[in-house]
Amino acid sequence: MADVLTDRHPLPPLDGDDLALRPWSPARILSATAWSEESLARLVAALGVERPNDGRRAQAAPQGRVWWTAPRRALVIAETSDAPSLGEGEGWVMQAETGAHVGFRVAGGTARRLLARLVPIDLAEAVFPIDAFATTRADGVLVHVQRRIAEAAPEGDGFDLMVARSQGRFFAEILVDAATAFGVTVPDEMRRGTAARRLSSREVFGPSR
Amino acid sequence: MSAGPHRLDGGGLIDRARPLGFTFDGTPFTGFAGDTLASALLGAGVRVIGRSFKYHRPRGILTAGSEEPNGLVTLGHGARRDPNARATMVELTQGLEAASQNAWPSLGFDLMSFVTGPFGRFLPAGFYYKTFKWPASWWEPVYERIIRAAAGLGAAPQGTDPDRYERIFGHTDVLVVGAGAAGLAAAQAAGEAGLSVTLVDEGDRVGGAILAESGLVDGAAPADRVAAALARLAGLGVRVLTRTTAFGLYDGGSVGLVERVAPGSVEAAREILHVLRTRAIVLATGAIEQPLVFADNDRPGHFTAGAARLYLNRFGVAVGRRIVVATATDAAYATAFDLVAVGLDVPVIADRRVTPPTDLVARARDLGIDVRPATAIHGTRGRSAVAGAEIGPVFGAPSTIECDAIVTSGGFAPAIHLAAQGRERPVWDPETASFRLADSAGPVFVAGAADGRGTLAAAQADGRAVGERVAAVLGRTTARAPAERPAPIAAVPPPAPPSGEDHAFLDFQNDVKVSDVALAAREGYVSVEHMKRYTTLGMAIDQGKTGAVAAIDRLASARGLPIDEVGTTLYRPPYTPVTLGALAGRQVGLHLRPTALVPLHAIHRDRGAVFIRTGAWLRPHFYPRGDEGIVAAALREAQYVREGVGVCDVSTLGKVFVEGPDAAVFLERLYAVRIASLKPGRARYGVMLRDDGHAFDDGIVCRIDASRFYLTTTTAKAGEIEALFAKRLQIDWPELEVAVTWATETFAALAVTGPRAREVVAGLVAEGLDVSDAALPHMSHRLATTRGGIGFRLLRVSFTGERGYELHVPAERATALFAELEAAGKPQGLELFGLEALDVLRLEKGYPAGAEIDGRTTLADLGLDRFAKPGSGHAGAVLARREGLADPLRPAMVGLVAADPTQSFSAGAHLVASADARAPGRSLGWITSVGASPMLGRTIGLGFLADGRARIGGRIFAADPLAGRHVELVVGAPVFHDPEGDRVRG
Repeated sequence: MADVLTDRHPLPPLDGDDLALRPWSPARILSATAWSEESLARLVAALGVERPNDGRRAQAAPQGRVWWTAPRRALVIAETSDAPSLGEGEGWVMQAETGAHVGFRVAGGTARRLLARLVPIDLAEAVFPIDAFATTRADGVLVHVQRRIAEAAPEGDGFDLMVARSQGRFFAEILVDAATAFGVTVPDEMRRGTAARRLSSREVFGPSR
Repeated sequence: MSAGPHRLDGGGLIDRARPLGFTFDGTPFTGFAGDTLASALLGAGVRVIGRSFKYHRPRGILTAGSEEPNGLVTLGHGARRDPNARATMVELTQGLEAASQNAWPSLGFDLMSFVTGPFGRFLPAGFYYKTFKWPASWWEPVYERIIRAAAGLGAAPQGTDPDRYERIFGHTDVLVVGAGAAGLAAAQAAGEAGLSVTLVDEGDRVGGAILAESGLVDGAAPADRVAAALARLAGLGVRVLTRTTAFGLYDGGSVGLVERVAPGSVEAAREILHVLRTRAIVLATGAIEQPLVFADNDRPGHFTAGAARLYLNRFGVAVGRRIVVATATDAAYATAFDLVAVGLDVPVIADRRVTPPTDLVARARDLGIDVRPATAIHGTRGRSAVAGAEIGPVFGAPSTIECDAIVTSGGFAPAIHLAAQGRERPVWDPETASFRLADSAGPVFVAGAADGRGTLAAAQADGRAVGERVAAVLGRTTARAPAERPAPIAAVPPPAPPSGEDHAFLDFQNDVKVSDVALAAREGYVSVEHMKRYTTLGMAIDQGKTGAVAAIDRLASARGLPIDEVGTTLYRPPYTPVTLGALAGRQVGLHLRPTALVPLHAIHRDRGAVFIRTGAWLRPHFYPRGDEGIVAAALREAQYVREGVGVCDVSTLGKVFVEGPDAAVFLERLYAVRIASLKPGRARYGVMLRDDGHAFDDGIVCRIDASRFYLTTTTAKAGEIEALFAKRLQIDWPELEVAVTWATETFAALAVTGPRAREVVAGLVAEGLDVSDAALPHMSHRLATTRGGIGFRLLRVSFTGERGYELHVPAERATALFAELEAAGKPQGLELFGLEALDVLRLEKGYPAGAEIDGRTTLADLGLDRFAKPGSGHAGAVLARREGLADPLRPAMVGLVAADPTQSFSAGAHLVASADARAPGRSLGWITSVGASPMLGRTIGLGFLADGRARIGGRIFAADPLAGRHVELVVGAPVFHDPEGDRVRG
């Protein structure tokens, strides 16, 4: 996933005190939206998963992991390009959205404490177990959060996060900024921030009187 | 080691092996680890800490807690200057710099006191409502400046705060606020029931009133007793936060807390805002001791009894050497006994009660203390500090007793502020003579002294019982039923404040006297809320915690009512001041709010774009050359588009697929224009109305096939429309089979526009793809690929009035497509242009934008009613026909130019008929958009003018008093260039 300021993911791999921050770039992200309860059932069948209850758990499908982001809408996230694709079916529509999202991985023993500085949801073990999924806001940025299957992650137990592409750079900055409390150093390439040349209202429009 | 004339040689919980040097007003002093600034200053014999807000009277420490009204100091200097810090809550550290406030040139010699002293009688509460009225022209430049300079507290730092602040979200089953006897017991009980418990205390160590005890508590020294309790809590996994104030209780069980990070902590932040979600709260916040009210009760050397005892037993500081005690409660006797025990002189206890407890009286007399029942303190003697107390019968003549300190206790006010914030008000309980909250079934519970259980034993037992009760309410069963709560401890009502006494203060911090409350009542401000605001009692940073009850009592007396019929004011957060830094956390500077970047942001930046923020987005505003300003750059760019071809990044537009068997029905209901008749491959300008009939948003509707549509919305309304679509499908029209997929992030969008735009597009697309006007007429669309194989959707639409195309490409291919576009556009001289030029171009065409579609205008106002379909089948149709919106005399959109072409005018100016700037008369409308027109070579504008269409050709005036302009305008049609619209069709 190309960063809007560079050609790379906005987050370089960073390590802190029992903390690993990694870019996460799935090979393919699709959205699938059903237009009725009947078509939702067909979509669910095509994915080979259970019917979503409250969307609070990620599901594993042959086409990738499934995040239910709305009552009849799912993101299907494939880690590799050889994952089978979900074809269009009767009653649901698909949209390729690989470029619309930016992913991040936060892992390690202090991952939960880091995220507690960003998101208001309860990430305690008993409340947010493996595969738990939620959508929330971090400093105003809409973010999807999933507790990751531990054995699949070399860095250990942790969380996968995903935000809109346009705010990927900003989210990377606030994530790293919060992580400085856990020994992470802000890399030079991120210090410029999302600063862009702007003028004040006075400079543009002159004094008000 | 001793550090000062009032520091005892032994005792206290301070670490005398660790002396700490600090300064106050530049003078060096020494304290010890474990001191507060207040205890260190008192130990050093410093009595006068500051000057009062209005009268500049010398003031000293009154209490030992966060309710302190007088001990306000400024800490540090420069950008880290911290004004209005309560000395009682400041932990002493090596090198601490503290300074007094509100005194000039010095604390000891304050010039303003020579003015406010003799003339203070002319400055009662609300004096500014009755004085400084004439001449009116002096109010702002003279009177206000003098008053602001004369009154105040500390000065805010001017530099950027260099410190870091954090925010941490937390979740817990039970939050216990206050770690004294009741809080420790409640936390233990809840923890034993298996609940997750968080215990917080505003002090730097837990223990509360336990630490003020001189003897054994539960068979152990106070510090050991507390340590044992903490060890038990640690074993139960209870999380303990000290230096943490719970300042506000909010919806959904959310509590705001601010933690002052401990000196030397590994945490880099200065303060941490904890946002804690909890299922239950136990308020074990104790009760705030109320001082007695009497003449000159603000003279430095007056302390509350509990504070004097805490200073003695926790900090090893004697508040004086010869101390007069005046009381209406039992609590002051314990203070007197402890003072005598260390060899201090307590000549008298003046007890307001006619029959104080005989055991206390007997013990006091055995210690040589003269106990005088039915005796009051009438006033103080001395200059800048107490030198004597006037003691005598309640209604008799007093005599002076020499002393250097006075300790009083007028009763206890439960600290239930947190529970009462914005909710129920406490009611007067005659049994405990205090304002208390009704018994609660949760989720907020009150325990200990905060609920009338004011002794250590009662507080501990009550904390335990409440903790067990909370566990039961939260569904944790235990072997036995929750213990019974001990009964509240009876108390006599506090003595009424004296009437007719001058300088008897109720609110020390805002200099509000007993006479001010009486004045408020006389002048008709009889409601406690009005009295508060008229006198400013309780409106300082201490919120009047040490005087509110006495003030309510005085008001009740003035009105001839019982105190319970007057009641308290409504409590509001924060309980104590919260810094802006803590509230902002890390959301400062570039992280103040989210920033959204378009896919081609780097390219725009590298091409020298000046950006403008629109919502979260950063959009290229203009691309200056040399030292061009915005006007010159936008003129140049717009001119170029009119004559050649330009490309503008419009990626921020809302983009959405609407698909399904009922897609057309859905859109037909949403839009005020016909959708069903739109053919595949064609596009239509679409306008939506709000339910109330006003114009809501506009955009383009493209039909892909019978059941698929692709829409664009404005940048500003994209979020609202996303929510609207979801609401419609989930709630209003759930029967429709429609799938909505938002693609704002999925696609970048580039607008290529100008007379040579078609040549550019033809050079971009794959060979053989026909983009002639016949194949791709205005308001049509198709899928296309570039010569490099990049797929995109090609729209033939325009927002500039010139031939135009929009290229909607997947975001991850935007950079590559732009490279191909630049190559294809080079022969045609393709140039980037920004938002300002785009606005000028659409202004010349009279296309409405957000300034015109602002929620107050209708389709008819905008001149867009020709697009509206008949009937009532779409949102807003019915209410759009109501009389007020259908009035033909409503302001209609018109075009405006200055009668004198050399003059300019501004958006926001009002349109008036009068040529007289000093008497503009009634507003007939307003100007919405203004720009410098490259085609007309002058300023043009759009606006709304009453009966506008009938005024075309006439004159009107733009009244802009803020800019000092009154400009004559010519009213015209709202289109300045190519009124027939031929250029857009090529």
